[in-house]
Amino acid sequence: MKIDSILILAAGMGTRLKPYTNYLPKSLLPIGDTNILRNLIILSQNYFPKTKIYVNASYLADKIIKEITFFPIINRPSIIWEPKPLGPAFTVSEHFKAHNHNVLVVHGDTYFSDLAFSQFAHSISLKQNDVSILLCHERIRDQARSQIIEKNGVISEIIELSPSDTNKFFTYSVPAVKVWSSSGAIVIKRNALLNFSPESNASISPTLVNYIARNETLYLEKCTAERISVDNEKSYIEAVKLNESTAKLFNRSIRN
Amino acid sequence: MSKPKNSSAIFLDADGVLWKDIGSGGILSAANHAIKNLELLSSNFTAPWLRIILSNQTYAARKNMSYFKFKSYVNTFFSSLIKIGLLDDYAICYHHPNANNLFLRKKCACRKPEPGLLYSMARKHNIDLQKSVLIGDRITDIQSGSAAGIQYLYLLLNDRMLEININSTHSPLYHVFTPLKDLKEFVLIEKILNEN
Repeated sequence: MKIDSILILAAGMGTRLKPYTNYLPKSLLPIGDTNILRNLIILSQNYFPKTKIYVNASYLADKIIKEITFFPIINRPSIIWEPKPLGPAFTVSEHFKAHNHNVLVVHGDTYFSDLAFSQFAHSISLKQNDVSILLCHERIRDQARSQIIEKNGVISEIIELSPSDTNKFFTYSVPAVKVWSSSGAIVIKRNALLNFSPESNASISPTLVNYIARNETLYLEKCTAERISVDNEKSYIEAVKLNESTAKLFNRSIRN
Repeated sequence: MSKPKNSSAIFLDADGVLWKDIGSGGILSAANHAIKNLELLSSNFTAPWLRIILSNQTYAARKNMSYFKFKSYVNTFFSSLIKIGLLDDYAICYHHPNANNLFLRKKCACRKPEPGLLYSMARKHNIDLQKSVLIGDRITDIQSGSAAGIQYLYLLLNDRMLEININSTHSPLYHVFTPLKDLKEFVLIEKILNEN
């Protein structure tokens, strides 16, 4: 299966990471010698060479635009600038209206290890036919923000819980029970969103994911290597540590 | 200027791209910068691209100079660049919706972000807009290129690049472009275009 374009969603305000995000969008918060956005673009270019990359930006967009110029003009991503944020589901839907082809959509707050991204890329390249795929990882049920309902690797629904719900919703459950949760990357095959018209500010999960799950076949892809969704101070620190450990693994220098 | 049918073009904004944007009337002191930047462009582009300037020029609309005198200056200036082979054509909008000069007060179809200048040049030279390139320094340049269906839209980085024309009645919800650090990056743009 060939990915025709990659869309990185980086328009969010990073509200839960304030004050860090007062002057920098979340995707640009420093993680060692890199940041989430730069990491995603480099991984995308490594594992999907020659695939056009788009980055959507709204909050502190000028900073994201300047970051993009870090990449040589030859393979520089394009910017989708939204003067007012449209909401991720709307952004993806508009991208599909402009280019009805296979798209890999990645959340701009997900810090992927090289291994996690390469495994996903490899799995996509092995698919014989165009399919829609949601990358998922296992989490302890009480800590999962999103929970996948699936059978034999086909997703029927995703349930999204607010941070407070994850604490109270399953207070009666056994803590060790694991569920599949969305990992922040989805492949959407051509024609999958032809009649999709989300409301503004609708999210990928659950709105867009459930649309595909109900109208098409959405496959679950297991992510077993490390990736971190940076949505609070704790996960930000975890991402910094992950970068440090993989830097040692690949003998990369760490700039402090 | 006999170019093949369905030719491609590189459309350039003037103020802020060919010379530093110093506000209305910058063209009056722009000759050296324009020549330098057009030489840079011409030396790098080997393919038969038409090089066309598209510009909003409001100096006369603001009554800083008479329309006929200003238009004559602009024509002489760009014609001289065509004569020395640095340029193929140019299209200028002199209007402004709030012009002091009543003759030029007009909500026209040619003032960027409207795509009128692009359409007129496309008709005149039989240009395939989809295969053409536009380089501007304001989001209004990008809007105009996008409305005309230009595929390759480049926005030069500066402090005013994301300013929106609040008078525009149908500003799109989003704008797609590739940012450019500086004009020197022209060097590699041709490679991208030839690969496509």
